[in-house]
Parts: sequence; structure tokens; C-alpha cells
Amino acid sequence: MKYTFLILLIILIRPGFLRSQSSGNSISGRQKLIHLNRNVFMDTVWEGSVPPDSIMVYYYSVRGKYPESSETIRKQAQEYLETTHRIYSGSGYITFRFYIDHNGQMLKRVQVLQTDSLYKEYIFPGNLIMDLFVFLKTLHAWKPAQDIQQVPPYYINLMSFKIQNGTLVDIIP
Amino acid sequence: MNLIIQTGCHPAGEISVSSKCKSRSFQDSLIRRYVDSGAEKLPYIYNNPVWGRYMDSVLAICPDVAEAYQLKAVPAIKNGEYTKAYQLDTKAAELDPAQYLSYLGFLKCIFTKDYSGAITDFKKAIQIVPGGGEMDHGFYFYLGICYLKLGNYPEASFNFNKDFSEQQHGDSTREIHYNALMYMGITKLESRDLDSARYWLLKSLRIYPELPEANYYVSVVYHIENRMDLEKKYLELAKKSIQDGYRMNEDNMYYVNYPYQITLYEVNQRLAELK
Repeated sequence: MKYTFLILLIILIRPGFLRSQSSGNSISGRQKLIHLNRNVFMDTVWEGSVPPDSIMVYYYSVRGKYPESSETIRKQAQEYLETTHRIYSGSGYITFRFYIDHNGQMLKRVQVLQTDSLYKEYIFPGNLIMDLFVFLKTLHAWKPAQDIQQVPPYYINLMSFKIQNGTLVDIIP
Repeated sequence: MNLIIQTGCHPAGEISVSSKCKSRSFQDSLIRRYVDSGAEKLPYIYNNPVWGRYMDSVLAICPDVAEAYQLKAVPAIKNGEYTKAYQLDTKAAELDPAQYLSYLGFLKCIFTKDYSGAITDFKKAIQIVPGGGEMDHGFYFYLGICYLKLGNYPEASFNFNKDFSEQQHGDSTREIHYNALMYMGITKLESRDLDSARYWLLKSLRIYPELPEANYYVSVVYHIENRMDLEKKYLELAKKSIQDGYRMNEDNMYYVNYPYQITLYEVNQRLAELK
């Protein structure tokens, strides 16, 4: 039994399996990014009733774009970022991909995708990701997933923030 | 690489397949076999995790089938995986620029709001396919949108005019697409040429009176002119249109907001400010 526990421990702490982003990319006292193989997450906790990988319905299949224009969201996000008084850097796209349940709530498990402005893999400074995530969590008008029998009551939504030299310039969708 | 059907070619076979791959009809037969009769039949179609394997099967036989790269990229662009999407779509555009370079420009213009990148692609596409189109619009339509979003209003107007000319083919009585007219109106509005903005926006509304964005931006014109009664009238029209289900009617608007696209939220906000 104790050997089983030891083996499990070794698997979990081996390099590359599960690690939080280096201190240079995180804010002390705040949430850290979780690197799981080649994917990056804000949180990996899953509270849904079916495995997350079994959910293949995306926002566009349920007309689930956030019900405000991209420009409105950009202005709100920009206003929020200004309140932090932080100077940001980097150019490209920060995308959060997450699940919405039948109450229109964003679930904890959130993936982060990062791309530079030429669409190459890129790592943004952690403070910008964290601050955008804090803003994202202020959005509460997501369309609830339909609770139909035999269909998991979740769908996948996403929001991308286009950044140019540390400034938020656009929102996708 | 996980393939749907593994191909085990001996050297003689490789030569044969390699020469076959240059044939468009052979490439099309692979698409029919692996995509039309395979991937397209999957539950959740391109969001099925094995979607890409069907394209890999095509590419294992013929590595230069542009359509397979483009199809493999479909879930990636729609689901926010831009690194993967553009790697594949760029490859498709390199292999078959006549077919996929304007598509690449379209993705940059509408999906990732990369207006400078889209201009580069569309300018090249115009050289390769003069008079070509992408997603129901000519290349100049997208160039107009890109310049509008970059704040280069003279260049935006120039390109929208070129788009109008292409749509009319020398027949000035021919109807122009309402969204093209609307974007010309927005261009004029952004450059504070209010009379011209009103002219183009109302012209768009004559073709499609319920177009929410055109009604909304006419109301902005009246707002700037401080004509509250007309501002409110057009906001109410925009509101009713959205509530009745009218939209811009662009194929990709379910995936992504088009530039200047509005929602009921913006209309209600402005109506509330009027009270």
C-alpha cells in the first residue's frame, strides 16, 4: 500500500507532468498557472457530472457568444486593467477556454492558450493572464447550457484577448 | 501519427502514388473517401477528437493536398487554437494560393482581427485571382473592413468603392450587398462625414430595413447631430429587429463577431441613456 502511494507520488511530481508556472510568470499570493503536459490551465478542478473530454459542444452550436459586442467587452476589460495600475507587455492572443453549465456558470476548469501576433507559441507575462482572468470572471451573462436528456448539460465557450505591446486591442469572438 | 487506414507502400508503390498525387482528380477521390464518406459522418463532425486523423490519412498518401490541411485546421480556428490553425492554413495557402490565400486573409480579418496580416494576404490574392471572392464577398470588401478598423478611412472608402464596382459589373442599377453599404456608412461615420454616413446607411436599409447595425449606426449619426427624436427612432428599430431575430446574415457570425457588430445590450444601454 505504502509503495503504491510512493509510486503515485513519483508520477505526480515528475518534471513536465504537473507543474505551476515559474515565479517570474506568477503573482505572489495569487493563482498560478498549471502546466499539464503541453496544456496550460488556470485550474484543473472538474466538478461536472461527465468527463470534460466527453463534451464536444461549443458555443457556436448553441448560439452562445457572450451577449455583448466585442467592443463593449474590450472597453470593460480595458477599464479593469487600468485599475490594476500595472504595465503589461507582449503581443498576440490570450485565450481562455472553459465550460458553461446549465445555470450559465463558468466551471473552474479553464484552459489558457497563448499565441504571439505571428501565431507562434508564446508565453505572456503571468500578471496579464491573471488580470484578464479576474476580468473574465466578472462576466455573468453566459447563455445556460440546455439540459436535454442524453446530452451533457455543458458546452465549451472561449474568449480571446488580442494584445498589442501590452495593450488590449480586441476581443474574440 | 494515428491514421484511420495505414498505408504500407513498397518503393514501386510509392512512385506510383507520388505521381498520382499530382492529379487533382486523385486528390479529390481521397477527400471523397476520407472526408465526405468518413470525417463528415462523425458525431460532432469536426469537434470529434478523431477528425484530424482522417485528414492525416489523406496526407499520409499525398502530403501536398491543400484541402486536407485546411480541413484539419477547422476545429482549431473555431476553438481558439490559433497557433495550430494558422500553421495548417498557411500550409494550405502555400500549396494552393488560388484557393486558400484569400481564406487565410478572411480568417485574419474576421476571426483574429489581424487587419495588417489580412491586407497582405488579400493584396496577394487579388493578383492571383482577380475579381475573386471569399465567404460571399469580394476581396475588396475585406480590404475595406481592414482599413476601416486600422483607421485609414480614405483607403477603406477606396476599397469599398472597388467592391461596389465589382458587384455591379458596370450595371449601376444592380443592387449592392447591404453589409458593404453599411460598412461604407460606418467608414463615413468614423471620419465624421455625417451626411455621407447617413446616405450609405439609409441606402443599406432600403435593401434590408431590419439590419440592426445599420439602424444602430444611423442613430449614432443623429446622436452626434443632437437630434434625439430620430436617434431614439432608429434605436427602437434596431431593438425590434434584434428581438425579431434579424441579423447581419454573415455565415461566420455564430463563431465570431464581425467588426462593428452590435447586440441588444448596446441598444438597450443607449436607450437607457436617452431616458
